[in-house]
Amino acid sequence: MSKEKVLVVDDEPNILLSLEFILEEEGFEVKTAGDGEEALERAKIFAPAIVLLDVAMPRRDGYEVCRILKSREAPPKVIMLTAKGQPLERKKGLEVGADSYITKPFHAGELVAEIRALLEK
Amino acid sequence: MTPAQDRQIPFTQRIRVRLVSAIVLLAVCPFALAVLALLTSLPESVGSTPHFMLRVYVLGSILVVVCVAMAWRFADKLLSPLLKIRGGAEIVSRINLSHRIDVTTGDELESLAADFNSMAEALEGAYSELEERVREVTVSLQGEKSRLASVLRTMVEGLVVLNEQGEVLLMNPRARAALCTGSNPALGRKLTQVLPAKRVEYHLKQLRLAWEEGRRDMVEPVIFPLVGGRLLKGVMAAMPEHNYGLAGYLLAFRDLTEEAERDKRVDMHLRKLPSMLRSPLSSMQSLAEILETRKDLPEEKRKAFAAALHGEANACLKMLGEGEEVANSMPSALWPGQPADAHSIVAEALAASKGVYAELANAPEHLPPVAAEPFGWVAAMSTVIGWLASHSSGWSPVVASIEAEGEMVVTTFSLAGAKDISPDEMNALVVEVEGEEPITLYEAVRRNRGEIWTRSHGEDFEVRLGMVKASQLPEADGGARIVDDQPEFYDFDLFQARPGFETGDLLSQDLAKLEFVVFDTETTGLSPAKGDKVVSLSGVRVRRGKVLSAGVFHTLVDPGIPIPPESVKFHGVTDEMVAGAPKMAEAFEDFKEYVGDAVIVAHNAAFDMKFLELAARENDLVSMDNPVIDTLFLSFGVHGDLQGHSLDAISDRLGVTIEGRHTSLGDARATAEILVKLIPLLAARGVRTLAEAKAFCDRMLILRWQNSRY
Repeated sequence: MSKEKVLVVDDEPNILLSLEFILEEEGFEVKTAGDGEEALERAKIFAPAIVLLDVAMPRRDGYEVCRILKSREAPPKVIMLTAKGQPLERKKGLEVGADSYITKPFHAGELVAEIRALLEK
Repeated sequence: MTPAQDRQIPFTQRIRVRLVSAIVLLAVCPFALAVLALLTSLPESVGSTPHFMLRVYVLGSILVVVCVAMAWRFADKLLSPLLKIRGGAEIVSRINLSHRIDVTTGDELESLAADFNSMAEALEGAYSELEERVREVTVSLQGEKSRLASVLRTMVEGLVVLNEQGEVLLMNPRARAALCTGSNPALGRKLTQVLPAKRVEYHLKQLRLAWEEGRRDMVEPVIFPLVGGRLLKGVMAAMPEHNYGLAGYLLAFRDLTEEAERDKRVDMHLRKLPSMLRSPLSSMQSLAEILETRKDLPEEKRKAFAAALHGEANACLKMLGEGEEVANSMPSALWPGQPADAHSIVAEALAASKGVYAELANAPEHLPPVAAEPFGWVAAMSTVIGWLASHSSGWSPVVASIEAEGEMVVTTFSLAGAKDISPDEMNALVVEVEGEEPITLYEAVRRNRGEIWTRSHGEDFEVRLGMVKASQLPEADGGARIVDDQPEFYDFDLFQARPGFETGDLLSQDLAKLEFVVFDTETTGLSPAKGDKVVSLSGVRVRRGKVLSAGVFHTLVDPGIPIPPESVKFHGVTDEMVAGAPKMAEAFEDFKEYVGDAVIVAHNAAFDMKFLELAARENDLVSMDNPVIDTLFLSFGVHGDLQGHSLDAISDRLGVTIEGRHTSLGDARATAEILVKLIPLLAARGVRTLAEAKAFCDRMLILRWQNSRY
């Protein structure tokens, strides 16, 4: 069985560093992107099953990236990662088509469980 | 003001001619008839003698000449007292009750004049009684006004009262400090010229709508962000009239500039802090989890994760540091400080500690002022004194001393032979003030920007309280400073706005309803064409037949040339006084804005207008094309038969007192009073509209010109 592909998008290099390590340990194939533009490029070639998407990013923000990803053929599942926990942000995220929402800071186990739950759907 | 040419115009000539011809006709006709009858009845021989005819003609001619001369004298005798009586009666009936008619003909005319004078006297008596009563009421109103003025003066808010048209009628000193710039008064101008116009219009519209819908007590919150980053925040409300109509509006505001700046910083740092911290903390958590759970990490990876963890922790600490800085700069948790005298605070604290043996040992005579909320300090110090006294052995007092040390003024309360005293007890001390939430001594001191510490010398125990010097605070709370000035009042009956005229319609408007700006200049000399310049320019507004006491325009003008001594003697404006005053170009533009679309009035207007025209021409500015009216010609037309049309003569005749004669403001005020008194006199002569007044002025100009040729 081939590894499930996960694309992690965040402008914090240390988040990318740690999430890449944790998810690889969990048996995923991981690629990272440092901003929205890069994420959209990567997603075309890499074709991930899951995208972990930070909301606040330079260039294109998470909402826009999510909207574009979801408008493509065979869209990936999207989990929004955000520093903001306000209900309005959550609503906005779900309206642009995000499948799930995780508020920073989070435990690695929490995130992995969420990814597995989405993949099984 | 150029001296008026005091010449009389032969207004009475026409009447005189009519009277004389009537008398002559009456006297000569019977004679002619008699001669005719004589000639027809005489025998042919006598009647046809040429010698006889000649004699009849000569005799007749002499008789006619004598008749004309006598009639002329008679008319003069009759006419001049009559005219005096007529002129006097008009002055008394319209403007000056103290005026008396002086006729000494020794006949019925004299007794008529005497009767008239005694009637005028009775009238004047009744009038002055009435005036006395008005004065009493005025005094009590003035009292109310000055009480209101002191309320307005001490208000921390800026307050502006508008009439229904949105024109400023009143502003308190704080509003003036916030809104006024330059020599142009804000009073009388529209609020839209003072604050952002669109916003003002929007809020006025909301209030008007609410008023019409019956929500008359609506209070509209307003915010005015000004150019330059200043921010005003407040409320507007409609003001009812005594008969429940809409009288105008009220604006109360605070200058939030400082607070807004502070809020911005707080917003930038403190409010964003949690969300800013989330990302690094999130990274840290993941990194820590990896380091904790994967014990078998390769050394290289472990080092990288540890370094990343370190980096994120540093980022968090940096953000915390910034937040702390902002928190420290926020005065909200501190009581507002004002410059205060440490000596009197300590003395008050000692006096407030009743039943306690305490005294002030020494204090330097000159202490720098401290930044404090004095009552808070008095309460804190009383608590300290009470606590120390409770540890006294009974015979030793609590001794206070004050000294300036570095940035602080330190008060020391010391107790000799203190028993069982521990500085730790101070932690539990509470400042209790009746009706207030009790707070700890430390908190009370902190809120006052102070420091508190203890010191022991053997048996002596000292509590030291440091108060920060006022000079250490950049500005003692700006919002609470009193702007020490009087509020400016417009006349409140101006809640009746000026009628909004169509420009083309102006000429057909009633003089009594028009808005005038009466102005005067003082100059370096009498020849504008030869280079004389304006040294001061003043304007006074007349609206609805009333001279407005507030909202005057007054400025000295730097003429750019030395003022000749003979002119200084005349108006008192010296070279030193005009140094630094605005140039005429600037004064002209300000004045133009002040005048707006009002009718311009001056005494001998040609002279003063010439200076304004030259100012516009020399500085390439748009000249003023408002209609101009000249009080000199108006007065001349109304009282052409009376002597004197200088400002002094007219003032005297119309009962106007000039305060500050030969100052531009004094003369402008006097001219305005004269205008107001001339308007009803003009109406009596059928001159009611602006067009009629202008035509009247023109007619008088021609008459004067003709007259000056004799």
